Amino acid sequence: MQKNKAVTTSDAKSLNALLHDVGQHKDKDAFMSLFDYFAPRIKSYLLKGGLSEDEADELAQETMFMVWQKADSYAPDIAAASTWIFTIARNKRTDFFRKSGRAIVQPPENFYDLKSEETSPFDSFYDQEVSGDIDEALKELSAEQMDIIKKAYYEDKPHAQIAKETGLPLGTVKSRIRLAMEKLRKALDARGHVRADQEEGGR
Amino acid sequence: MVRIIKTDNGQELIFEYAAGVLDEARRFMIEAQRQVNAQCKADIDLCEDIGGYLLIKDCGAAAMKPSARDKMRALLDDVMDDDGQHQQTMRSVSESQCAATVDMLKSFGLRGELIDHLERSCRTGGAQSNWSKLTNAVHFVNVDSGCSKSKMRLVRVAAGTQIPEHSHRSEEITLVLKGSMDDEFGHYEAGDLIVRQEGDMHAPRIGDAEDLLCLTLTYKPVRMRCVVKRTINIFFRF
Repeated sequence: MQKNKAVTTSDAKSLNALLHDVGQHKDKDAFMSLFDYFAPRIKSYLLKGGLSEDEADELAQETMFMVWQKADSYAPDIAAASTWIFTIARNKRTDFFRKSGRAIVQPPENFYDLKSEETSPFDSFYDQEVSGDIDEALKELSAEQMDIIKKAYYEDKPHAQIAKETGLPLGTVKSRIRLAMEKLRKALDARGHVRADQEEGGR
Repeated sequence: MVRIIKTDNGQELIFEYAAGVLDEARRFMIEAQRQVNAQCKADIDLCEDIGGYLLIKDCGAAAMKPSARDKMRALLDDVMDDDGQHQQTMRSVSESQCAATVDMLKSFGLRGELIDHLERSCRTGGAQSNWSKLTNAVHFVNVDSGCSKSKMRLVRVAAGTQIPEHSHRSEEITLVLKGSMDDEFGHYEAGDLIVRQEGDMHAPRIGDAEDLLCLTLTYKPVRMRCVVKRTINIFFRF
C-alpha cells in the first residue's frame, strides 16, 4: 500500500491513528511520519540520559525500528502512542546501559532548557496524544515535584542517587515523588480517567 | 531495627520501574506483579503515561543525522522483503536472556491462570522447574533473574507453616502469587509485593487454607536466628 500520506496540517492524522495504521497495514508512509516526529524526541531523551550524539542517534533508530516491528500489538484504546513509544525507548536505554556497563554521564547543565525548535504538522494535535487527562493533571504538581520526576525519568537514576546529587534527604525525594503520584491519581480520578483495560477496577 | 513497608515501597519500585532505573531482576518482579495485581498495573500505566507526556511535551527534539531518514527507509524496504528475519536479529541480547523467564510468567495470561500455570509447570517438572526441597515444608525453584548479583526463586511453603525468625541481609522483594501469610507487621495475600530492607527481622506464618506460592528476589541470603535453624542457611545459599 503506497497511498500518499504526506502530512499537512489540515489532513494530519493523530499519532495514535498513524501508529495503528503501521501496526495494521504495515504502512511505511505512516511510519515515516512517526519517525519524523518521534526520532528527534527520542534522541533528545537519550541525550539527557548521557548518551553521546552518535549513540543517541543509533539508539533512536533502533527504537523506531522496534516500533515498526511491534506496532501490530499497539492498541490505541489502551495507551497513547507517546506512552507506548516511550516504554520502548526507555527499555532500549536500560539495555544499552547494562550492556555497556557504563556509568551514567552527567548531562550538560543547560540541557533542561533545551526545548523543541522544530515545528511539526502534529503540533496542533499534541493535546490529543497524551493519554487521558495526564496533561492537565501534571499541571497540578509543584515545580519541585515536577523537577524530581523529570530527574528520575531523564537521568536514569534511582532515588538514592537523586538524593545524593541534589543534597536532599532520601526521605524527602521519596515523599516528593509519593505525594506527586498521589496528587496525580486524585486529579485523574476527579476527571473520571479510566483506560479501556482498567474498567473492571483493581484490587 | 525492624522496618517493614508493604505497599509504599512497592509503589516506589513501580515509579522507578516506569522511569527505567531498576536493574533487570527488580524490573522482573514489578513486571510479574503487574500481571497479578490490577492496582500495580494501573500505577505503572500512570507512570508510563508521564513518560509519554515528557517525551512529547517536555523533552525537546534533537535533530537526527541527515542520513537517518534514508537509513530507516532502507531498513524498512529490506525488512519488507525479508519479513521475520530482522524480528529475531534485532532482539537485544538482554531481552532474549530474560525472555525465557518472562515468557514463563507472561504465558500464564490472566491473574488466575498465571498462578495455576506456575503451579502446574512446577509440579510437572522440566529442566528448569523441578522443585528442590529445603525442608519438608519449603520447596523452591530457581528462576533466571537476568541479574547475576541476585537470586530469584519461586518458593512454595506448606499451609500453616511457621517460618523461624530470621533477618534479612539485603533487600528482599517477595511477590505473593497464591495463598497468604502473616507476620508481626501485616497480612499479605496474592498480588501483594513485600519489600524487606537490610536488617528487617520477622517470623512469618503461612495461612492455613492453602500452600503459599511466592516469587522472591534476594541479593544476599537470610540469616536464621535460631542456631539449629542456621543449618538452613547452608542449603539455602545465595
